[in-house]
Amino acid sequence: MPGKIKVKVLAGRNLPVMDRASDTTDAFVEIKFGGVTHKTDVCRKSLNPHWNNTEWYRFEVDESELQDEPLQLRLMDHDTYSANDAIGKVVISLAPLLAREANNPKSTTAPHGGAVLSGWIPVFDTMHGIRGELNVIVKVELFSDFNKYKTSSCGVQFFHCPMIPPGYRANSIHGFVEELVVNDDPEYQWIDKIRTPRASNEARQVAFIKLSNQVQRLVGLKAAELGANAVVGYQQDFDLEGEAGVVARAVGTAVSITPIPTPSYPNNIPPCTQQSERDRDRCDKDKGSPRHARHESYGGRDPPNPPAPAPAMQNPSLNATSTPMGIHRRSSDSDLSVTPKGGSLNTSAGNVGSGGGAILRPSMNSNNLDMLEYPFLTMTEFPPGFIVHIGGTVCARSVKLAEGGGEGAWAELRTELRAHARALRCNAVIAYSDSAAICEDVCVLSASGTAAVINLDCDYNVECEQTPAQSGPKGGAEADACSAAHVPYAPGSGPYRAELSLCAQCRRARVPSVLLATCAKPSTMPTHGKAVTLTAVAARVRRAPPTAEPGARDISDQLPFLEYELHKLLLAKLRMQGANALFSLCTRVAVGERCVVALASGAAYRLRALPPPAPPALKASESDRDATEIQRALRDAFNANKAANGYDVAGVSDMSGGGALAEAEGEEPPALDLCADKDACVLELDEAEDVETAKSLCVRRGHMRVYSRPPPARAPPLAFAQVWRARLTLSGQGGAASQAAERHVARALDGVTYKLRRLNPCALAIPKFQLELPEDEIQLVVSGTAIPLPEPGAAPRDLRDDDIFALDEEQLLRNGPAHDEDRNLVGQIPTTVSLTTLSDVSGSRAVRRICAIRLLFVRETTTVREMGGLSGFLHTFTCEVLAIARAHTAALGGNALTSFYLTQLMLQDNAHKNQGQCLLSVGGDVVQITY
Amino acid sequence: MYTEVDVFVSNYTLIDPEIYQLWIEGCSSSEAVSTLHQRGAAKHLGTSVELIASDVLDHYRTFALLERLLTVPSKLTEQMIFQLDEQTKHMLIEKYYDLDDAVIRELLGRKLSSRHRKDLDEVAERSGAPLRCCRRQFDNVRRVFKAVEEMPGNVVANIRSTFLLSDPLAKKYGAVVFIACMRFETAKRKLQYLSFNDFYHCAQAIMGSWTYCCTGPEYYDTEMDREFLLELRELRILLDKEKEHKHLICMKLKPKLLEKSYQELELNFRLYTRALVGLACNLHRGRELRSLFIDLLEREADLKNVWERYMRVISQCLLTMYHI
Repeated sequence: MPGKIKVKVLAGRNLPVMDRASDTTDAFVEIKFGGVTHKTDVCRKSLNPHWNNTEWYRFEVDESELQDEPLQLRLMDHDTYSANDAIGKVVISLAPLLAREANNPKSTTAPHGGAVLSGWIPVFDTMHGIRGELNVIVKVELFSDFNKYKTSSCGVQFFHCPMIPPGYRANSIHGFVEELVVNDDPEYQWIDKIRTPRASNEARQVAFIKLSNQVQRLVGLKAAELGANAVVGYQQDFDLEGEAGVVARAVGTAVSITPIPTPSYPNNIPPCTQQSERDRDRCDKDKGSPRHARHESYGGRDPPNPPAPAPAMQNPSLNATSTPMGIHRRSSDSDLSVTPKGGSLNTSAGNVGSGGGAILRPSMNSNNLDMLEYPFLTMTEFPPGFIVHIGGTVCARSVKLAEGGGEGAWAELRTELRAHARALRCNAVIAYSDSAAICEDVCVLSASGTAAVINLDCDYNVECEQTPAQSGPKGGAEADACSAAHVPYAPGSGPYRAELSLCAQCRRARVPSVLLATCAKPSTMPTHGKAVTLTAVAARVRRAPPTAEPGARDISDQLPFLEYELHKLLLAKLRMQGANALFSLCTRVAVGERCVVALASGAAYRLRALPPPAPPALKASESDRDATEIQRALRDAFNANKAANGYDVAGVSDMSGGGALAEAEGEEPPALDLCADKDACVLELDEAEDVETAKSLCVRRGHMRVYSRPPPARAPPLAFAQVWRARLTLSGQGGAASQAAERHVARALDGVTYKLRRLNPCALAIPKFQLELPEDEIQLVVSGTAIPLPEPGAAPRDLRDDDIFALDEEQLLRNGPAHDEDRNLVGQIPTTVSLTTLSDVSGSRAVRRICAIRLLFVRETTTVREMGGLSGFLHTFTCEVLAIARAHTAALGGNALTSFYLTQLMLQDNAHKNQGQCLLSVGGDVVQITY
Repeated sequence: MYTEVDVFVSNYTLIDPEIYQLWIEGCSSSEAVSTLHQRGAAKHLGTSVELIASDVLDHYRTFALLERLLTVPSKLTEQMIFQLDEQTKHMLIEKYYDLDDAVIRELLGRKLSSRHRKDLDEVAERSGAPLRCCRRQFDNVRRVFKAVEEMPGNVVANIRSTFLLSDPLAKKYGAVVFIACMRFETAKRKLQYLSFNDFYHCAQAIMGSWTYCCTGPEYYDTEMDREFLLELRELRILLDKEKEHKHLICMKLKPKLLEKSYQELELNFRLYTRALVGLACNLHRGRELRSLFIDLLEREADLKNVWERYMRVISQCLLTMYHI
């Protein structure tokens, strides 16, 4: 059944002068959807035109077209004798409106809700950037569709938010949904050779937007099939495979959620009633089939295990319909008391069944590589009690030649990942993400996540009160918290020899010496001191020609070494910080023509449950005087870092009874530890480059304090992006390349820290990195959010105690007025649009979580030099893109864009032609907040 | 390390007032970097030049983009590209339109046409300000002048509302516009010693008393009250009745002045009144008006009301000009 789009163009402002003679413009707008185009009247001789007598322009279209096609408004300058000139375009994807429309059937009665986009949107031209603004109203009316074989997924809401969105109650988590769509890249079509750059860019932009909408629709469809009404933790990526086309990939977690009514805006929240009702009906009908079995019992926990987490976990109701599921897993692992392996597998599997069946689709048929087979969750933050144990990071990579598509390759990777998780005796992979790096026709596909034992029966909604330490009695919470750090496998039965020790908190279970995880730190996990950002870079020089089979094989051969080096460095750095756990770990692999680089980043913590890290030790011959020096420097840096990070806790609570811990934090033998091979993290100084690495580890740098859950802020959060691109000199072999790359990353981070000093005191949400190796350069994009902290006096200093970042008088003065503003801020609805990479704006309350948006732009210029070089070009473009994102957010009724991200930054330039081209995509969740 | 791109962009545009001030002062980016580095070194902050440079370049790029908007300050409030709070917007405008006394003194009396823009080297040389800074002020003055020249109503209010400037700054521009409209002669060598501030006070006084005092759309307060100037001619009568005038003045001033000054006044009274009255009588002629300041310098009262109105200004001017 079709839907109806209604568009009204009210006015324009600040238009460029198109008619030089009269210094004015004769503007009109072409409104295009699919194959239908409407035109407004020409508003003569005005840079601020008003189309007063406009009626609604209507389009009647099919539902799936509604989701795929963007609405295009093209602002034109009318010329009587020559061809009309294009001023620019406003491209609007209707998907955000559809989700709201479907969830709010009474939209016409509620003036606030409803699917309306209304406001000033900048007019963007791919050659000139923003050229004025248009005031538009777009409405969508959808007729309800009960067609069983529908191809649209209008009812499904999308959120990039990597958790159950604050303000919503989760009814069930259905499981992993993914989709992949391949199309031609217009840039590589023959027609591109003959059309103007503007036409070419616009075609590309629209093609990408369509592809993006399409993949989102298909993901939504899969989610709807699972009975979900929303997709959270939604991630979407483009792989530009050149001639082979462009691949749009998306992953997400299908969930059923309902908004928690807030007292002040009871009517504004689009109720998902219709949808969930339907789900329920369906569920009821399907009862008996294992997929929809509900209310399984949870029985696996052994009594001696004290963590009696949330009451929901002990739900003893034995449901009749529960029988079969999950049994195909080999379970029955002999185990400690801690890990209720078989039992928990059964139970959690059973509970997934409450709607999804991602885990327990009974047929584990390898031909049927349905995504539902993957027990994956893309969310990174979970309610307390959800994560029972964290097994560790699992990762799978493969190298392939671009041929457009690659569903098969992804399926293999995911299967491998699942196998890894199983080997760690885990029943799920959480914080799953995948990425691809492409150079010429060689692609490196990576899938990674954190293997974990999860309990789908926990109370999802504990955290809705949004107080971090709320989960029941304190003792219980703490015990529960340390349980997440316990290994899910028995000491001997792990897949590899791992060093395990007794949990420093409960002393009952085993914990690893270091924990690496892609998910955010569970909020209940107790830590010492503060968290700091950590990055590690490893690079290897390619030995074969970069393309085709030899190139791919070479990379394939080198990847394991790259990973090993990266891992080694990461652990060494982690230890140098005095930390023993790394959360929100994100590894990026980039392939260049001459080298492969991997960048790992994350937030380092010092967990209470895990043993404290031993001071670094060197392994070298005693006569090596250099080594003694380095050893001393390492120790000094280690202690200084530990003190700065607040990990310098009195060892009493940690040490007492920790018999398994050989090295104690306090003792400091400055001499070389020659028999240190028992320790995996010891550096061996047998190669020249190791010496360099060791030396670089001694250098302390200003790690910014990071928060996954920030404290209440003094001012709105500040989302930022730092783009760094420089020549990567590859003089020697891998080691030198690594160090060169490392220097670039360090420099980019220093830049961020230095530029954010004005917000002092502030904290940093865990920054995200993107790495590309265009030609012989390295391009880094660091995006994140700075949160201004309340008071310099009370709050600990976020930056390393370094004179560089000391507040001087001037900044104190600047802080003054900001603080006044803050006072006014409380209880107000902000008029500006805040962007944050976090899932909520700290210190505020989300009144409505409206929808997810995703925008994509192509920009080109032939005046790079005049714009201040490539930096100037990119600076202008990024500012414009942020402005348009803010405008869309405001037009959709929001005043904040949370889970903000910035991806696909592809910058190409041709210095001889003074020409530059850039692709950029941004997105996030549109939210309306009040302070 | 050769960098091709180093860009930092944030949702709320961060503006460092210190760097903005350097940009306003006309420093090139490298000059700004070295200045900041020296200041940093003085405070013992060991920030590397590289980081400072990266920060300064970010700002300079932002300023270059902002400059287009700053030429029409109302656009700055409407624009969507930079998210700025009101305070920052105000600061940006205020500083951009800031007038350097030394520069504006040189600009006074110059023709505000684009042809003269390239002759600003001289201004730069004399005022000691960088050329870029002179250009900015020249362009600002020219833009303000063009915008309000033909605008009816109070000139200061017009400037304030059109360019969103603070009252003191709008007043300064008001004086500059007024002096330019009247085409007062200010550039003569003899007048070189006068600062802009002196002219500012004189112009304020003239604008306050000699222009049309009624406000309304058809009145321009950049125009002299012609009727008043014509009335001034009647002051000639003071010369005829010099005796009585002198007597009255002397009676009044005797208790106020020192003996010596009083003697001097008594001796030269004729000279003084002749000069002042002569000047007053001729003010209705355009040329005379323009050379008001020179005349006042070279030479040094029914008309009761007219005389008072005249003298209010003249005394102000004289007081200011002679720095009493």
